[in-house]
Amino acid sequence: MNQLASPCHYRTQLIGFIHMRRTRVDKVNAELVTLTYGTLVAQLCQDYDSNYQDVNKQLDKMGYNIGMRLIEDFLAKSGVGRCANFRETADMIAKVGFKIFLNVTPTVTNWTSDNTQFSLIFEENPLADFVELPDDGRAQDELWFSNILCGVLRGSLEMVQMQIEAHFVSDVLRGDDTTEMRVSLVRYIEDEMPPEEE
Amino acid sequence: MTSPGDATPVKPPPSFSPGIARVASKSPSRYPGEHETTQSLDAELTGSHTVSPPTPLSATVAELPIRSSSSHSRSERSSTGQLARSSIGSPFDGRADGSEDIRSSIIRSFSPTIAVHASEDTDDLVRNKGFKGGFWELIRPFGETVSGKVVIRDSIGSSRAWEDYGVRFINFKGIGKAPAGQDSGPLAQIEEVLSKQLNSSGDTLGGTVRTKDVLGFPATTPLCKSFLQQLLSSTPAAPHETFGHPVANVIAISSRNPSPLETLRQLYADGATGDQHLPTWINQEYLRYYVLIHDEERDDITESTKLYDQMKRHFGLHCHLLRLRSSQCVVTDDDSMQVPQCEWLSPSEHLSGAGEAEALVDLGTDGTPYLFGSDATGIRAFIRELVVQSVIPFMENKVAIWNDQVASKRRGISGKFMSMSRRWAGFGSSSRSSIGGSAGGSGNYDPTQHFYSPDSPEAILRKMADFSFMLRDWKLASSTYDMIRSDFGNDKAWKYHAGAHEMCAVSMLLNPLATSAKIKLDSVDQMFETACYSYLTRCSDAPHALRCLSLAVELLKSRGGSATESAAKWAMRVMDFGLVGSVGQILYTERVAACYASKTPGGAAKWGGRRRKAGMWSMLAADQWLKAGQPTLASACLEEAERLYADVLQADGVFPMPEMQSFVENLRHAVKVEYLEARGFDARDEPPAEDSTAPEETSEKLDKRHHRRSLVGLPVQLDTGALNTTQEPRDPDGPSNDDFERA
Amino acid sequence: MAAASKATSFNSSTAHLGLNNHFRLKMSYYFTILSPTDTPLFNIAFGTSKGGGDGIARFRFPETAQYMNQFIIHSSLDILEEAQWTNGGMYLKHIDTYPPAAAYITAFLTPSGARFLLLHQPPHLPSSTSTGSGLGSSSLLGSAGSTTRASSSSIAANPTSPQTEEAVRQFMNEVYESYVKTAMNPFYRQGMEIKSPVFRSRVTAAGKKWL
Repeated sequence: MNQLASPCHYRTQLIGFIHMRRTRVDKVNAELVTLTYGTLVAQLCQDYDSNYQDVNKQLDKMGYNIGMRLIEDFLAKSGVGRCANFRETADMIAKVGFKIFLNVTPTVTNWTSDNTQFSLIFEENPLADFVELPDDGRAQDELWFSNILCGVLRGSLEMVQMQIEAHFVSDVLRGDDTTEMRVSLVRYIEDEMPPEEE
Repeated sequence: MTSPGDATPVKPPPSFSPGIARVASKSPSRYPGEHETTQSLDAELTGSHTVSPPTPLSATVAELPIRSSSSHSRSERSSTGQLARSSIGSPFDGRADGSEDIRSSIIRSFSPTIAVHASEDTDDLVRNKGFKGGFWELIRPFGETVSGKVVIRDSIGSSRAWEDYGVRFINFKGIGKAPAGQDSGPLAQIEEVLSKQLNSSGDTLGGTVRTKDVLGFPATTPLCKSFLQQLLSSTPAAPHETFGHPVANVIAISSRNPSPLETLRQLYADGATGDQHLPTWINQEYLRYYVLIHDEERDDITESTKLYDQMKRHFGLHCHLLRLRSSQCVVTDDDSMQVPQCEWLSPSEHLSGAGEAEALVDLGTDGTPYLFGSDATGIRAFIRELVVQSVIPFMENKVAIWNDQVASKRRGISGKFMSMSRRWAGFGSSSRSSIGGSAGGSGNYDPTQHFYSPDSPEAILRKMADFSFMLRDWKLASSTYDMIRSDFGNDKAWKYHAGAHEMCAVSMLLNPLATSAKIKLDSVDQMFETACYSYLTRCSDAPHALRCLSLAVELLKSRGGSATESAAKWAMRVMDFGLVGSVGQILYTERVAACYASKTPGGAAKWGGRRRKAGMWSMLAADQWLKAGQPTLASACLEEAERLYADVLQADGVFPMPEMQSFVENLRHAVKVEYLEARGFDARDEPPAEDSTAPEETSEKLDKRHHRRSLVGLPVQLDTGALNTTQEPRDPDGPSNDDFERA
Repeated sequence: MAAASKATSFNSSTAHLGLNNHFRLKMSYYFTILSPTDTPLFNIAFGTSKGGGDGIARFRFPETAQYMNQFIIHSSLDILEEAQWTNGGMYLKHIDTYPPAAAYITAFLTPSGARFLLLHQPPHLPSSTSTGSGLGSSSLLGSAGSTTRASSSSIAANPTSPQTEEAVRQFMNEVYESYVKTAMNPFYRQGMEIKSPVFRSRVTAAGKKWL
């Protein structure tokens, strides 16, 4: 898979932009970010010959790499301390993390009774502005356009000793009513060596 | 078979008529410069400009004047050299400059009318020579082009020589009378003639249909030119304009006449009184010209000379002694020559002419009359003398007098006063009494009979304007029309009103001194608009309205620049008004295309042209020709359209819009199939092989004929004459087949 | 401020419509977006929705309308190329007419060079005649006396009236807005046909709203 363009290439690009958005506050044009991300996805779709499963995977992987770096920045800038439990983590992600980086606040909802799974409902999604999925009859069913966000969550939480699994379950781009990401805590990581960069 | 982007599937069909050399048409290209004309009569003349390489447009434009002028004079010289072809300006002339050609046609269509009133003995003499219509018919074709230059002085005294001056001879007995046997209007007749020409000459027409002018724009098609000539010849003498009124009357007797002077007096008197007197709206102040025709074979020249001297003593200088042989000339005679074709035939003459030709075929005789060269020389000399020494000076003189006596008053204070108060001392009085008191008190116009008395100032000014127009002094003409046009409106003399507006606009457009900058196109447009409205809505005069609009189209087109858009607009208006029949509609579709095509991009910029519009209209014309069963013409239009589109489409020649593209592809295919079928090929499984042998073609054609509607499959030799075009040098064995249609 | 002016213009045009409701004709429209290289990006045909119109295009010559509309629009590019140099604005108003089908072309030029072309065609009136019909028809009276522009019978149906120009301007602006969004879609490749159903529905809505 990596005989294609190096993911590294995409990653640095994106980190750069997301950083700009935060450090030079409000100076970066939102459309530029949106367009950059959109172009990246479109390019992946083209590179992977519209194999959307692979595109999803690739986006997730890129997000993971972003997340691992972004967490440092997040902790430094936000100054938040350790969360007491997973519910608190969820709120932190929604109200501080997304607020800082994308200036949106998804709703945290649909907790399972054991407090290990929740959903993020996105009222708006800056990454998906202007986007209409290709009408090839498959993208609507297979592509998760904003899948990078799952990777970002996975990567950043792993850095703070939480192994999670995240995936989208619906997307307005596909014609669904809401955009919803399902996040599940797999386990807390105890004193392990940080994994190798993928 | 070929991809759409390729060259046209159907080549412009080569001409097969005898005498026309077959020039193998190169594979059609979409670039103007590479275009080889398929018409080849004057191939050596056209050659020089048609093969201009595809240079940048600006360069071509820069060279334009020099080229066209040189070629023009060259063709002129050569055509005067060959007497047989001296009916100049034929559509097949191959003259590059299409619009000049049309402009000249228009100018020549408004030539002075000269009545011919011959004694019985004269007509008998001429009938013996094979001219059934008598003396008038004999000299008529020669009048259309006066040999040599004709020098005309304009109102400010400067002279100009014209090479293409002509006069129109009409039969004195027919003036002001509706042509006999006319059961349909002239417009319907034109349409009928057109369809006849189409059906009889589908192939040759197609072969010669496209003469490209220097820039590669479509020159006038022969059919279109034929249409215009018929239209301009179709209007009979009318009160509101004096173009059909005789400027002079040629009174002719022959040396056979027992009492010559008596007869001359009698003929003179016919003009004023008697059964054959002219309508009261015709001014009687025309020139009388007396001709004595001497029978070279039967009579003594000394007697005739004596008589001629006597005539000169009685009637003054306007006399001529014309020496003719009285026997009929046949082809085999030494010194025989074919009588030139009449270029200006009215549609009814076209129709009746065709009928005569058929009758003649039955009798097994040759319809085309021949004449001894000496007779022709005599007639030419006579006409030249008549025009140069009598008619032109007469007209110049009249214009000067009227300008001095009538126009200046009208221009002066009293005239302006008069136009306001509708009173006119002096000139008006006699006319009022002659008409017998005009109703409504609106000056000199008789609203019940719808005309001005010929000696009223209005009528005289109109006549003066017409005279100066025919003398090609368009400046004086336009200012005179301009002066009187509103007067007619005040009198509610709507036809006069329309006519003055029409001719005012026309003369403004013809005036070469008025450059496009000076001339106000808006006001010209407005005048055409008014003229058309008055003709059509107020007078229901469709023929004049059509003439008016056709003149507008052609003259505005020849102006170039933004005027071409007006031209296109008027052409569309013609179609919208339904002034033309189905063939006319297609012709006008072609005209719209031609108008747009002649608008070229300005300067170095690529914009400002109307290539897409021209291309579209050519496509539509192709479609309509195809539907009319004329695949040959359709193919020519299609080729034209592709050439026009070439500049604006991508290199592959594919239309960006899918439905356009499929329409064009279907059209191409249909044209190809029809065209090849009409030529006897089975188009479905045979690739287009243009230059296959003739015998095969004819045999297949015969098989196919019964189920092909159109007559394109007819032997081609039949049709060259149908258009009254140039007479080509004949094949020795050709004429019997070839000429029977030229009555 | 902007809202206020928008409101007034809207009011004036609705007032106008109300006034002429009786005469309001059901126009037929054909809207095309062309790329700077003349490639068609988008086509839609629709009819008047206002004043009880059903929004369905009924062209005068339905059997030829498909290709003729494209021919007419394509041929108006000749004029557009000229007008874009003489008129600085994006909205070029009425630029061209194809008299035989009474088709009027209004143009809008995006800064990037895409061209929006709207063909509008008033319906066949009983009083107007088709091409090639007899002489002395009443259409002569209508058009011969005054300029061509005034030949249309009712003000509301006159595609060159200021009201119409204004309504088309609103339509064009709205379509332009949607067009920009569509062009921002990362999956839309520049110069390719716009297949987005969202865009189509937006154009339809704009047509309903303004035309």
